[in-house]
Amino acid sequence: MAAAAVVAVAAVVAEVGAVAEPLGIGLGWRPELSAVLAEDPSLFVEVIAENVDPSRLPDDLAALVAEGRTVIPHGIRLSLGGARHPDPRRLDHLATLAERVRAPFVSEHIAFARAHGIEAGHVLPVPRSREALDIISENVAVAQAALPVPLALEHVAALVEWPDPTMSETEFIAALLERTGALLLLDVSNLYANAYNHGFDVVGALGELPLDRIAYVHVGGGTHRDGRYYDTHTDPVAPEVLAVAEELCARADPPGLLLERDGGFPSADETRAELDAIAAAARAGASRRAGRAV
Amino acid sequence: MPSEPARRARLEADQAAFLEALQGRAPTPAGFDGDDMSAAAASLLRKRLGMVVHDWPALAYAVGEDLPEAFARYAQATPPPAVGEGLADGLGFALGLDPGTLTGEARAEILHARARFVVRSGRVAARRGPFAGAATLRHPRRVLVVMRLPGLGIGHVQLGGRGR
Repeated sequence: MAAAAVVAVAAVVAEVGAVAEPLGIGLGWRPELSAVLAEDPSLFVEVIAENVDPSRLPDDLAALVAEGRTVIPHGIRLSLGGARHPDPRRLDHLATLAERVRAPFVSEHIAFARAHGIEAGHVLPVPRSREALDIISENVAVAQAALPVPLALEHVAALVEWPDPTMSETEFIAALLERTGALLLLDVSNLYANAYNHGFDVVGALGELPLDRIAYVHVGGGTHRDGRYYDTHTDPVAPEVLAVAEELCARADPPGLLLERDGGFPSADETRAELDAIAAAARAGASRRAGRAV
Repeated sequence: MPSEPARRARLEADQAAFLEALQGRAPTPAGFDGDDMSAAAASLLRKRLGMVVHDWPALAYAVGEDLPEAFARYAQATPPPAVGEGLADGLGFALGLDPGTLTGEARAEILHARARFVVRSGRVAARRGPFAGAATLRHPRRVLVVMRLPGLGIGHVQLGGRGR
């Protein structure tokens, strides 16, 4: 009986794989969240790459690096989903930052950030065609060749979709990861947002993604308004998004889950409560998974 | 099948048309859902304004209830800057405002941003060279001087400031 349980657990471990060391629960670095990050050494950290100069890190972020905290640079303007090869200067910045913070990997988006020299100011969705998949795969390969650590790719939340897609979003993500060998930054809020706004089943979508390639997971706040879900990062995490995080952890063992908050900063107590809620969702999912395994 | 440069050029043209429509300078391209485009355009504008308000509290306060409309006009005419996010974007917005509407605190925010960025023909870029600027503030009356020396960083001093 015990041997059977060991075999079952081993099978689950082999199935979900381990692409990285466990990270636990994390929080995106912002000056406003510095105190919460500093006081809890268990938190891992993500920093928006474009917001910092690797040669002159903000003191509080440098202190987190010095104490050995895992810090993951997260790019937002590389435009890997754009029509041009990624800018060598932006790649160099990301690579230098990765080395400065001793990152295990870096992350960016499956999105475009500019076209014809016009900045989007945000990460925008890409057409899900074979042609776009070819171009983006090549862009990702160019980035991977310039980076000292593995690259994880994040799918974005999009209120509007390109017409006539030839693949579902999960098929596109899976194909891109398969071709490039990139890791997955799974954003449960983005997945929920697109499922809600474009009418697909979020649990089914989880089943179609390569969960064994997850580097870490984003959990962000948002709000329902006028029949749409907005991924704002300035509102609390919705219960529906926590439910997706739990479902994910019932199916796989992602190395870490990180809270993204970009504005409308709540009190430190409220931030800690959100982190606790994410940890509780992960535990609830993990115990369901353990229940199934034995 | 078209060559790779041709395929990349076509993708860029499609993405530019989508982007220009989202920023309100072009009609919705064929095939896109009009309601979804409007929701996405409004959401992008809200996020952009939110970043500016975060970095420019005094400017936002000075412009007051006209802010959403004034910023929307600016944003339609001016794509976001390539660097600097809200701080750089707010500078482009601030320099287009009637200086008479600005408070001393808003002018101080402009000085701090100008030490980091330059605006050339409406486009904001990172400043490479030195900078020095001053603004007179009231209550109490004082002069704020902001300087940037390449390699040394940015500093500021206030002269005066003792209440009468």
